[in-house]
Amino acid sequence: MESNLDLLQNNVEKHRETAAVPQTTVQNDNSVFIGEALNDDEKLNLLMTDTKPYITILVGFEGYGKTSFVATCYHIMLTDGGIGEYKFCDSDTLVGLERRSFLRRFNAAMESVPSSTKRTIRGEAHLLTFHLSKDGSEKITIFSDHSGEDYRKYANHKDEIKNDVLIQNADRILFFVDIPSLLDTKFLRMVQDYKNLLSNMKSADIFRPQTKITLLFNKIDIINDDATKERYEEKKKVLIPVFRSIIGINEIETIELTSNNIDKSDDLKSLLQDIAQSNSIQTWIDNNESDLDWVKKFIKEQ
Amino acid sequence: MDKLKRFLEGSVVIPYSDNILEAIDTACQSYNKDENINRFELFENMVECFLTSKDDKNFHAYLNDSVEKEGTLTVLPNVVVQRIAGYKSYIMVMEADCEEDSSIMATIFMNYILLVKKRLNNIPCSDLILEIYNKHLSCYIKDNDKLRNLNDTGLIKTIAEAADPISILNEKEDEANINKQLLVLAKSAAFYQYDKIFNGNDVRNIEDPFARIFVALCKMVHETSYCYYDYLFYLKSMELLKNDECKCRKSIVKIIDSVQSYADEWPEYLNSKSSLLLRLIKNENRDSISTLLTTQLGIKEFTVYLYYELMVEEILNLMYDDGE
Repeated sequence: MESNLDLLQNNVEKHRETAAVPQTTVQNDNSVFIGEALNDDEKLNLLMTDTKPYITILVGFEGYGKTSFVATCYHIMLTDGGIGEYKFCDSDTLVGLERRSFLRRFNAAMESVPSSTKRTIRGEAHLLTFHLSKDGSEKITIFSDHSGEDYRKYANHKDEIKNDVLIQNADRILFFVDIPSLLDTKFLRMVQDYKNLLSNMKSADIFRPQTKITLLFNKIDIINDDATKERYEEKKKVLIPVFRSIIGINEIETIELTSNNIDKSDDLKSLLQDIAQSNSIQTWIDNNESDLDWVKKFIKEQ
Repeated sequence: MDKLKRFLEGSVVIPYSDNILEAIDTACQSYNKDENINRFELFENMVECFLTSKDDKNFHAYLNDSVEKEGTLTVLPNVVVQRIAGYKSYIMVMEADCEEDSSIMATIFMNYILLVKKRLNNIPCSDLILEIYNKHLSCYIKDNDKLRNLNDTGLIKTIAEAADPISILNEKEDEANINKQLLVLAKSAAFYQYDKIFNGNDVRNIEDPFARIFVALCKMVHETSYCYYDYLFYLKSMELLKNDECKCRKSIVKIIDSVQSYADEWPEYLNSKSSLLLRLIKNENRDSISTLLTTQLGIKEFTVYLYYELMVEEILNLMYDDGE
């Protein structure tokens, strides 16, 4: 445990020295965040530089591994000093995230701690920001990690989701599927919960054409024999069409990983890299270029 | 405020609250409302900021002050100010004091489109921009030049045979009909002048097709008595071209080389920053719009852009001469 923490500290120091951290791009007074969790979605506007932050929403029910995922992302950023070509230069880290990250990282040693304290508690601040830099220009990516109970609430009460302004402005939504639940008797409940949630999200216009949707099958490491693998594939064949039909898309990206295994995190890293290099949606309306080329239209009409 | 919300869509992480939107809206409505401010120059600054992200420091500072007073935000990022400049341009066109102003501003906006021709799909709120397009000078002229039948020329004989035409016209009882016939005469005369230019050998003998079009359109706008009729300038221009010339394309730098020797005479001076081709031709502001030089332009597109640049210049000249 000690060596891990030392590792974190040393790497942070090392990368802070080498990273080309832009000094002047943050224009707003961010001091409001010192000692205070980013507990109000609207405060995210204060983080805006000239590049709009990229927003990734982690969606899933209790125990599906959302916080483990974001904690591993955080760990990778700290220990590797960034992801791909992007250097990690800062984070408006939450005290809550640190706590949850710690509890998951050392889960095995914490068996005596009740499971509820290891989870994201409803009402806890849910935002984590990564300030990244590449070639001297800054980029911010934001993860929203609401508690599973919040999503259950969204699934059961249609109007609740309309208060979540961040999800309505998401660039990417990662739907977590808990593979152990997929394989056991909780499967039908999971399908029904997701049906309700997706329908409510659909009616709240969450699925814009530009919003990237990914289905993330978590805890893939539990599949270790052919029979389980076969059962897993069958369940997937039931679940994926539910997402496709309710969201209204023909193809949906799927990723399989284990969100809390830092030693086998290649898939997670490539997803994190994709998130880091993605640009936020700037234009919500699909432009028809020829409409704006008025001269072309003028000539055509003559 | 809905339109402001639309302009800001996608530029902020979380859509601004109604209080902030109201503060921005009020700031946009009140910014440079002073009568002494040249509204067209102000409009051009807004369009440049919106389309090319050129920072307008005064506007930016004014907006920052306004939102700071509201109490939630302290500074608006450039990308947001750029969208707000788009909104300000939109309301300037849509809420202009008169139809003429609205159509001049819309035409200025659309002349600027040449500057962003290569990246039109990056421009947000295309549906709102199309509303601006509907105010273009061509629409205004079509709506206002309703005199279609130019055959009613009986008045020619009356005037031609009269020693004192005014008194004869005054004696006629059907005043409305006389007025209409006079308007027909004026329009026919103007069309005659236009046709004469397009049929003139001095134009037709110019070897370079871009230069031919340039001279014809300059003469039409500058050397005729009145150029605001709904005249088929485009089709007439195309008649100046041989078959193989209709499809010719050149980079703007080469087009300028072709026409520059004819540009001493017209236009005398330029009023609008949106006259991008004319400014390059007259060697003005070449540095700030130099990115345009490599843009390829077909002769048909050149004809349309040039005509409306000339028209905006002519109209602004008249307005400024009248002391506006």
